[in-house]
Amino acid sequence: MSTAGRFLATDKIPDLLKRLGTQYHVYAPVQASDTTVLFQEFNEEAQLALEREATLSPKEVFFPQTERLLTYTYQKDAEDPKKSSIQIEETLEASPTVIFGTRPCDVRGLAIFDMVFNQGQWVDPYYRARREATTIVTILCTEPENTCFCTSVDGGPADTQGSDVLLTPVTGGYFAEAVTEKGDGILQDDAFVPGDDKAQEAREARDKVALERELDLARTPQTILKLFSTDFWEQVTAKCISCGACTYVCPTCYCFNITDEDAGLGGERIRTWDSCMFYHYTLEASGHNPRPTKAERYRNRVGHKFSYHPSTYEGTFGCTGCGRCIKVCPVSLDIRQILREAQVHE
Amino acid sequence: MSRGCGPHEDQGDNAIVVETDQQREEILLDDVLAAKCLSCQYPTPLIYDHLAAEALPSQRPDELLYQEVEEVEALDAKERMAHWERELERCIRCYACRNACPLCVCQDVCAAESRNPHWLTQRTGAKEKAMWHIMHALHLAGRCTDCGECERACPLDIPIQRIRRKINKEIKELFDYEAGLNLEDTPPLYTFKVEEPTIKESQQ
Repeated sequence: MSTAGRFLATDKIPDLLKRLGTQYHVYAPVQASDTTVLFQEFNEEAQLALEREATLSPKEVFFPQTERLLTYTYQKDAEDPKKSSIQIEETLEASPTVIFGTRPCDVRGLAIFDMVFNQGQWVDPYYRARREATTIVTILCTEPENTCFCTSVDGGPADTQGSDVLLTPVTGGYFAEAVTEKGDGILQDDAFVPGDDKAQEAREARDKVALERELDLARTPQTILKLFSTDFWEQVTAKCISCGACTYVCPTCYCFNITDEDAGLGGERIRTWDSCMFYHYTLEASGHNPRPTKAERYRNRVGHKFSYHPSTYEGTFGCTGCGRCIKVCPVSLDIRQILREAQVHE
Repeated sequence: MSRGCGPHEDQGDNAIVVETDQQREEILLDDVLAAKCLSCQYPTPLIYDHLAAEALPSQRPDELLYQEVEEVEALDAKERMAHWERELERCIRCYACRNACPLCVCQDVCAAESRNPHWLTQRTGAKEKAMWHIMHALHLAGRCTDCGECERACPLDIPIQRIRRKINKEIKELFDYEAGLNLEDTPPLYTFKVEEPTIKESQQ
């Protein structure tokens, strides 16, 4: 890992991404419509949008909305029509990938995914393969939005956890530092020039970045358990419409469903995003549903992120404070407000 | 109790004033209203027990109502498909459009999520997402009141209201009917008439 910083001029970025595109799949935040910015595979027509947090985090690169896990084919026995055999083929696709222009909170989301999918006793091979094949270039945040609360969940606008390269905005471009060896490889490109004269400015920019910790969540994991069987959840979710927007834009929500899509004598097994905000998520085969109303479902969302996850994973919250759930909620439910109201019961 | 919404003349010429310690700013309502409000045909409620405040004098110009629909209709089939693939590619199937819809009545037994029967694939390509949106719009045919909540709720800003408006336009042309104007009405697809006065074939 090199410690010397490099300089990347803003106008060199499209060429850099084009060159990287010859060796990697390159994802970058691009203007997908007038008001939405999405991580999409970069091409020459794409309009880069690096100034602000993207509408969705790049979690889809690792954990697609839909992915094929395997294909299957039944073969009937010509001698005995009651018998058939089945052929199963696993499909795992992962190729070298660079994600350019993520934010520290997005990458922290991956660190939380890692705990669940890539560490410990059970490892998800599909996630792991894509994670290992990916290099991440992160832009430090100099202007937090009013929905940002990363510092309240132990992150920060200059957090490097999970990133391979860190870019600090400076005049005319970015001051680039490698965080890992993989990141060092990216910095070898000609777009990066010696950046010693920008080091001071970058240091100052980083020192200036400040986001006050607005929530003290030290006792929240216990408070949520204490509130488990109270009507607190009915009160705070009265306006919730039970859609899945908050979970699908969340960089740490990892729940999925598995469906066999049949076609004649074969088909494929797909994995798709699922949401604990949906009635069907906990519907059991018997017809019983342990979370029949939105109050239980929302309790699960808040409880998982701020109580069960930290108790399973050494105090780490299942939330990165990116604020996307606050931005997209059709009824303006603000998870910070719910955590504050819970604190009243500490 | 209902109240009309939109510019009230007594609030000072279609603008709102925002004041902070540092400054005072006048903002035109048309610059900050939801897109759906700019073509609203019924700013004053039609059905109410008590109307709070005055009836509003003006409706928005009705040529705005179908402007986007007509722009899409003007595209040839290939361009139209490309338009919808581009827009619907962003859909994340969060169902905010469905859950925000005041006319969606199926609640927890929506066909989109039914596993048995498996009506709709769970795949998420643009065509599969289009299938969901078409299904939603068709189920609302003759019932959609053009409130625009579906589009307002969409986290990816997909212009889905224009799918509903297209169907509303067809219903208007075929049955001379607009949903939500009269409590006593039976929506045209809920009933059957031997002679539909607005359909030419039935008069021959």
